[in-house]
Amino acid sequence: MTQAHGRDPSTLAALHPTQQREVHYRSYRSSVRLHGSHYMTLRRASRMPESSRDYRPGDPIGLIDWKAYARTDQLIIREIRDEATARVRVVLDQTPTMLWPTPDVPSPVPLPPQKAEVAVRVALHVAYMHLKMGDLVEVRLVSEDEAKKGTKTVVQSNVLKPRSPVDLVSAFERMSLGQFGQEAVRHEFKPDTNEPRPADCVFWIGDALGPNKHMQALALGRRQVLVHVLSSLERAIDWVEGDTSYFDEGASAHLHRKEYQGQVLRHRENYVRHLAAWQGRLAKELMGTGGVYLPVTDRTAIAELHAGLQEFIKAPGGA
Amino acid sequence: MPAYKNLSKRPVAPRLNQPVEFGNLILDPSVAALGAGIAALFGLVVWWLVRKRQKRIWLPTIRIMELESRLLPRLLLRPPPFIPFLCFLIASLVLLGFSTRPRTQVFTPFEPNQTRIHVFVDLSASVAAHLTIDEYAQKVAALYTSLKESGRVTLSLSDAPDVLEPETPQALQQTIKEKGFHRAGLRLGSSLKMLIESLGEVDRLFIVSDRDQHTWNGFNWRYLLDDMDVLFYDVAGAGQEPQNLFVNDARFLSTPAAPTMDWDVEIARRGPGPESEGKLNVVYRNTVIATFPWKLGAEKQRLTVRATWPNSAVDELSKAATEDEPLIFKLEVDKGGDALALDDEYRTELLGLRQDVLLVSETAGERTLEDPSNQLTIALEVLGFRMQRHDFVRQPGPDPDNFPFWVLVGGMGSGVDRFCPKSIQVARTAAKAKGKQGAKDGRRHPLPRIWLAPHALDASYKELCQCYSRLLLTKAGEGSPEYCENIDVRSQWLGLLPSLGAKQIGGEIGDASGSLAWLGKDQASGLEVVAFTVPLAPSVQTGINHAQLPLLVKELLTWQSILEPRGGAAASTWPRLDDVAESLWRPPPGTSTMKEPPPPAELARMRVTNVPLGESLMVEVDEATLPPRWTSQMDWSDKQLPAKKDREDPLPWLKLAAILVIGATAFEGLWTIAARVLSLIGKRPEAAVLLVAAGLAGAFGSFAGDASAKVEFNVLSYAEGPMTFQTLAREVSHRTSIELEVKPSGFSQLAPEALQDPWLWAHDVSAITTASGQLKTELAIWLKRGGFLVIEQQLSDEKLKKLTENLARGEAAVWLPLPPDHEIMRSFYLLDALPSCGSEIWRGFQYDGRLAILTVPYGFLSTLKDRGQPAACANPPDQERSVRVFVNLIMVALATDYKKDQIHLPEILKRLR
Repeated sequence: MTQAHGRDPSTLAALHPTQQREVHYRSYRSSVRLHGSHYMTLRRASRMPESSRDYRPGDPIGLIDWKAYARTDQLIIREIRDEATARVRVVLDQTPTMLWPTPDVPSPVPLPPQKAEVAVRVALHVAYMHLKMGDLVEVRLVSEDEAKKGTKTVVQSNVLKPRSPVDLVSAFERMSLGQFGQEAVRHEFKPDTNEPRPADCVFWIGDALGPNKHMQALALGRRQVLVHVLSSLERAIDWVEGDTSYFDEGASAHLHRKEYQGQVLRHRENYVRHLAAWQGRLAKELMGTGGVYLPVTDRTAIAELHAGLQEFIKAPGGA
Repeated sequence: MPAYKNLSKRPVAPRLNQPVEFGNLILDPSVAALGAGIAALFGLVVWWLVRKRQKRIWLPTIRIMELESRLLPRLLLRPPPFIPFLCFLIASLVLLGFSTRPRTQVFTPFEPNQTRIHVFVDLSASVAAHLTIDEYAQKVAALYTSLKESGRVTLSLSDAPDVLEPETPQALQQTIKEKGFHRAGLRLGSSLKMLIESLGEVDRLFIVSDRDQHTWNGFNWRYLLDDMDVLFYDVAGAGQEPQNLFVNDARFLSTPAAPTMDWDVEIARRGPGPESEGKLNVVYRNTVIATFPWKLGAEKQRLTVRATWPNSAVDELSKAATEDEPLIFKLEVDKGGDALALDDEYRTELLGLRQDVLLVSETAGERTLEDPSNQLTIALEVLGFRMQRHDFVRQPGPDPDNFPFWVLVGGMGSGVDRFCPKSIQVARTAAKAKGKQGAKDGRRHPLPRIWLAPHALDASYKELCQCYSRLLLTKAGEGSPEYCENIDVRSQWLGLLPSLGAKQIGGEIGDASGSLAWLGKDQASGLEVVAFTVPLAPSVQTGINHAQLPLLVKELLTWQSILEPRGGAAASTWPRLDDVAESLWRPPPGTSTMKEPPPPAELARMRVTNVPLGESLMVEVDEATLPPRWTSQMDWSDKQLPAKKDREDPLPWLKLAAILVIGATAFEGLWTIAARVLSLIGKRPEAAVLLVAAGLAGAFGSFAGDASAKVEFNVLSYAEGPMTFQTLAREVSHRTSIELEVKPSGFSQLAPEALQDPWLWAHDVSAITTASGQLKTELAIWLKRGGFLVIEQQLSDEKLKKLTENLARGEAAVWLPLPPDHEIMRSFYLLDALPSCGSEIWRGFQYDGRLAILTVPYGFLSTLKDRGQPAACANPPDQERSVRVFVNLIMVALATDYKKDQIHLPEILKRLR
């Protein structure tokens, strides 16, 4: 928790896996048995009056709501959907661009946490939530080595499979002690050579800047969430100086090295417009596959993340 | 071996601030420093940019940006594009070459056969102040000798533009001694300008002269340096300021009849000096007439000496004198210095000499009153003439050369031969035969001026006519002409004179009867005859009284230049010649000047005229402004010879270099632009489309005509041919914002084109109606579609009704007089009534709630067209009213009753509340 010291506890910069959710988080409230976060697709008839439909031949007679029949002279079957354990995969992006802001960024003190740290916090929190809901959770790590391999699927990487929320919290504490350094984070993950299997839900937590194909990874999940982690310094560039030049080396052959003067970035809101357009593109891309796009920074309120996730739960087309 | 042989190259001692040398080229340190400074500045700018660039911060999100980085191009160290870099390199090298200059001026060595040297020797008066002609000739000869070995030496003296090439120095010396100094002044500028044109290629020009300001003034010798070296051989000694006395001016004072000749002679001195004294001799025809002592006080600069001598002193001498003989005031200086002898003589014309006049006049008796020429004689004597009177002429009469002025008084009836000499006729014929030669020999008026006057008003004008024709018109031996036979009285004589070519003197223009005399002139010989029509005597009849006669005579003599105004001629006859070349030189062969050389007699006279004031004053010019000096002991070095001619002309090389720089820079620019355009097209193919589109737009834009928005209307069945409405269109455009078409399209029959525009004027209703009197179908359709028809014809109610039968929608066609509140009355101008024609009024046909057809009872359009006719009505409207009605009509045609819309009403009401 040392890193979080002095940070706004309501923002993601200080997010802890065990962070309490708001009480109105729907699945939490409605799921008495805490068997999982997702409803099954199949409905089964039940006496628990959740929904109803007309009787069709073959339905169990005992489930006919006779009282209703007595009132309305219609055979109505009551239905219920069972909750189930979901396979949740959280992909944690730790490619070099996530290790930003670097110490040379002239920012008003204190320097916000690196995107990598925020991503770890969010990933472990999401994993913790789903573990608590009874889901099967695995956290996969995408780092530079894998990115350079150019292997067929990027998600074939190191993996952390917590057996219980306690496992996750202790892993988080160790990472925190290691100040969320690359080594400390990687230490918690074990190599996994298995082909990643389709999952019920895939989270990609990263800045989507690396060459890794987040869409490919997300495509393995029936439901997809891209938690787009950017630094608050990347979101708002008030700190940029006009006569300093800002560059990016480019991650691969098709991404060229670029360099712009600060005034070019500020000129007619160039940077902000392009960033918004990019985020718009990402959101649209995900919307096409029914996924959810959730942009966050270290300044994003935890409640906002929860609200976003709640949206995800409520989103139609799932389950 | 002359000293200047070794001028070609001399080693230059190296110094610390010596320019850097590359072979024969020097890179000037100041230029190099400037270049280095500019380069350093450039480097500083680059350094600043690089320094700025060095503060770089990694911002990964830039990865997704596609920004124009135009605000500051990225500074990348790349190898430059080859061709622009090559162009830049060439331009830089050439510019570096530009900044160098030759280390030594390398002269081509003197080749005796190739080098041309010209020596110009100043023989003007001021030089004479410094040395005698012998010494001068010696010096010039010495110079000539020393130059002789160096090339071809030519020589010219300032008195003439001739180019000499003397065989030996002795011959040259002799020539100069013979010519001596000339009295006219010298202007180096004009004389060398004339001379050099004829000299051809000259490498060196030596000017042998003194430092006289008069000589050097206005001579820009540096101008010559482009073609030759100019060297100055100064013959004046250094330091001393010689005294010089001269006769500055002489003014004639005597009146014509005075017995003495009085002159005021001004003796002047160059600058103040000690007391001087001497004698002033008056010389005429080498005889000293009078001598006057003078004394000029110390520090005084001028003195006036009154010279007086009796007329008789020169009378005898002047008889044999020619006209060119001057009166010379000669200064003898006994005490005080006088450097210049030439200007001690001052020549002027002998004034006050009595002119001879021959008067041929017969007297009727012994008494004065009986002499018709008594008063004339007195008048002429008063005017200073020496009178010789004859009663009659013994034929052939006196020699014309004996008397410059003849007065013949005749018409006494005793025959023309009695007063009219034949000698004039002979002389005139001879002069005519000589042709223009006589006029060119410098003598003025070789034939005398003749006055021919009647002795009285009732004289025999026939004789006068005969004498006139003998003097001016007929040849010797011819009889008296027939036209004189009928001349009896003055009026007939007056009538004839103009037809003989004479010009009227006195009287009113166009009224010969009041004329005093008539001037006849023989152009070939210059003979002038003034034929008086009234006697030259006081008379009540002619109105000439005793007081007027002398004045009249004097005026006429002055006008004829027989009596010259006092002092007027002196200046022009013996002037001070400032510039010998301008006045005396014949243009040398090969020069382009159109100047006519003076005639020989004139030339000879000019040579001995007065020394100009500038030469006498002997003011010296600043030595710094003079060309480099040559002295006989001179050490010829490149410093003293700023030669231009011997160097190779660098201009072609400089031009080539300039072309290279400009060409390389331009090519570099074009190449870079083309490369950028191509890369842009490669990156964004749509840019090519845009470029082509822009190019095409530019091309077509230049061909596109102006858009115009004019109100056009058509006219139908107007018999008077095409109408124009220049004035109307101007009025309309001044009053409103509407542009009216000046030339409406005219049609004789209803054609589809006539219905192209929504406004049609018809003069004759038959052109638009069918046989049954209804509107033609196409016109009816056009009206229904919004057309506006104006008919300029009176039509009865029945005809009107019939006309619009097929327009009225089942109801009776309604033609109404235009009410006072109709939109035509207020659409632009507020009209109280429309111009009517007799009892006929304007009627309108409303269709679809608008005015569709309008009948005008007269030719309204004809009154408005250019050069329009007024209407044939009893009460034709004035033009202004017609224009106003037309403007309102236009408004109705364009906007119908737009005022009824009252779109502003809510606003107005709102404001009123």
